[in-house]
Amino acid sequence: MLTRRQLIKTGVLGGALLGVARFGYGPLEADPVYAVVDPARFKVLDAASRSAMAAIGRVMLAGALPEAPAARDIALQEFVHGADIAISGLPGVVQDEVKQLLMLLTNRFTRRWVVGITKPWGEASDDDIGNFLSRWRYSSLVLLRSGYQALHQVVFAAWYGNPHAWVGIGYDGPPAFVKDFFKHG
Amino acid sequence: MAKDVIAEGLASGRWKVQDASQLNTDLELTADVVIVGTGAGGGVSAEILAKAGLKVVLLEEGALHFASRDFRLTEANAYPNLYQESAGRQTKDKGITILQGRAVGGSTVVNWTSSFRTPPSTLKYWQSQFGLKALTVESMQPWFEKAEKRLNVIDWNVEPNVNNTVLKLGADRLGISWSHIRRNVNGCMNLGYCGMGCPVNAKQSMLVSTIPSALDKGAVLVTRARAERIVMQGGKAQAIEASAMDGRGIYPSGRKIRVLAKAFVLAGGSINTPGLLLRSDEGLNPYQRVGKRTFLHPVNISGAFMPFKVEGWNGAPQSIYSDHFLESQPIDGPIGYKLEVPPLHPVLTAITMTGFGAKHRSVMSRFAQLQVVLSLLRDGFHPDSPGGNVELKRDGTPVLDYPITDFVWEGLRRSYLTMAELQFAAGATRVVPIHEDIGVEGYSSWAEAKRGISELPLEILRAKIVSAHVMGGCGMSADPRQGVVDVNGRHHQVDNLYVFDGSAFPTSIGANPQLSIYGLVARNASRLAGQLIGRPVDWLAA
Ligand SMILES: Cc1cc2nc3c(=O)[nH]c(=O)nc-3n(C[C@H](O)[C@H](O)[C@H](O)COP(=O)(O)OP(=O)(O)OC[C@H]3O[C@@H](n4cnc5c(N)ncnc54)[C@H](O)[C@@H]3O)c2cc1C
Ligand code: SF4
Repeated sequence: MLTRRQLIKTGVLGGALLGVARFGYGPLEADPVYAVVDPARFKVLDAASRSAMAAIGRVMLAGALPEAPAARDIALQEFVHGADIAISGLPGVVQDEVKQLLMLLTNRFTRRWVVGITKPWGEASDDDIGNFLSRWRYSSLVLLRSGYQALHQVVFAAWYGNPHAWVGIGYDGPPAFVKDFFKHG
Repeated sequence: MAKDVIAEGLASGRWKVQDASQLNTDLELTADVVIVGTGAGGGVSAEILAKAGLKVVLLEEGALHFASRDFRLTEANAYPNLYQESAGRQTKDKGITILQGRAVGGSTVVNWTSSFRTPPSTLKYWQSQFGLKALTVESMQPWFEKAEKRLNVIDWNVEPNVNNTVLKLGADRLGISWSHIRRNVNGCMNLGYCGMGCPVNAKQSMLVSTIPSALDKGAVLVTRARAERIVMQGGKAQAIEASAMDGRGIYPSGRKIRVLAKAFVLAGGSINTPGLLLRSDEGLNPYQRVGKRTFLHPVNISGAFMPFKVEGWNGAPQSIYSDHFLESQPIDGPIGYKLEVPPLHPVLTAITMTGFGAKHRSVMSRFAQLQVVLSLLRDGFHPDSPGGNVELKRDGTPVLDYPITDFVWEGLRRSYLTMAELQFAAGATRVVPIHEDIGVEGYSSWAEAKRGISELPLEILRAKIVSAHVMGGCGMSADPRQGVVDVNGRHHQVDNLYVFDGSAFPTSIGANPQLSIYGLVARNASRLAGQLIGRPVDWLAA
């Protein structure tokens, strides 16, 4: 995960360039909102972060997401919600680090120049997103590798933490008698 | 429905338990002994001190869960509720992920029940290198015996699950020794969910053993209370100041708790106990030893696809181990490692397996065939394995800086080789050492694996390294310049301050640490209790 100090150490990405971005690209603006039923239920993820998480999830969870578009949409929404819950359960300082990472992903300038995604998340192609993930995964910068690992962790924890996601992996959840036991408990 | 000792105790109306997240005012308490943390060390201390008739107050940052009813056996529930940092605690450079518990009962609520006495070679090293002459195999034996009796450490005579059987089979075929793991369970139903809290009170964690018994004896338990600092007066510890946490245990609620006591026992576990000392008044760290020499048994991981069902979520998580690579070389030579297997559940498996998209899914769709071996490296016995150092983050919470040295990486490469060879010997069709540079399909033969692993770039955030055994950071030593506490767990500079948890170890243990903590803490807490009441105490007396 990115720490502030690491971010500053990467230099080029610092505030000065953000200033240039502001100048060159007009006011910093988040990507369009990822459509969700009820934004109020999100604790940590703002609209822009939700778009980014949904796009990244779409690629990282390829093969795991249902094929039918409607089911897929619902699953992705559940996933984004799961990611929000997972992040909101982290200690404050760690949440701050995740938020910095999300800022890096969603800010138009850093999205383009650090992440390498030129279009808003909602419009970015699967290939572009996959390439970004692979670049970070194998980067020589520990900072970017840790960013990839953080995303990997949040995405797969949020997905496989949901019992709906166990379909197709041969795991049928906690022993049945325990489920009954809870019902009566 | 199984009996729930916690639900019953609370219902009895006799227990004094305060959930600090519910406090409307600040709280001040007095005690003979205040104990910070209710895990392996805090639990055993609480029972011994309360039984001696002393007035004990326990401060625990985590929550009190019903012993069985609250354990929903899903990772999404367990990690945020029962683990430090939602089971995602990481070293400073994010290179190692650390599992530690955070709940009444500490890590013992979620641990895997493997029970080993401290290896004689480790005790011998402590005697010669740290002057801990009193800790001999003979002198420790009665303490391990007591702990084994109290916590029902037994031979586990049930057929190992398939995950463990593969370890046994592979070891046999390589001609290396293996053995059965003893477990602290009573009525275990072989479910395999120890890491999410045992749902049937079988695991003899502190939550179902020492803590209820201490509460029966009048101990006061304050949950959701994070000890922030030790207040000193005239060279002695005078009070502990704690923050009440919010209901989810994430932010302090603003309410404060203050406990005045005669004696102070720190048992927050490694990383957290040193963190508390570092946040406290000056004079507690004159030789800059606090937080130094923190050890992890760094673990690397090797997955294998078997031509049969493994279902690593079923059955007692750990029942077989091999110490061949600890015993076949000197303790202070190239780093040795213990071989074990982990339980496999969807979240932990999915975040451990590398890659994403269709490739990752193809692994998950074969989840039932996946077998996993772990190597636990014995760190801390060589100058090139000095462990890590605890620092404070800007909000005062502790973080461990643990750079992996070349000496340790060399051992990790050897253990990747061992695990791959063993898994192929046991019939694996493919072996996948968990490393970003190895495709999810891994290797198809031992020859290919051998070549591949020899050339692997060994770096953090490429090789997946984890730990569930944090030890040290307030090490025992005879010489005050070499450690933080003496052989009795007493702080070298402060007479009424004690460290009774895994942080007192001067090296790693070289075996899963819980029984080492129970034994050593039983010895030291009995000593302290005896001193405070002026006559010897017997932990197991009726
Ligand atoms: C998943 C897992 C599996 C394991 N499996 C095994 C196994 O099979 N066999 C084995 O031998 N060992 C195992 N271990 C390790 C073993 O459980 C621990 O080494 C042992 O419990 C550590 O004891 P401790 O007293 O040092 O700390 P812990 O048991 O971790 O207890 C520390 C407690 O103190 C609390 N605390 C910390 N700081 C504060 C503060 N400032 N204020 C108030 N409270 C605080 C924490 O919330 C925690 O509850 C496992 C650990 C984990 C996480
Ligand atoms: S295997 Fe299951 S029943 Fe046995 S101790 Fe672990 S959680 Fe409890």
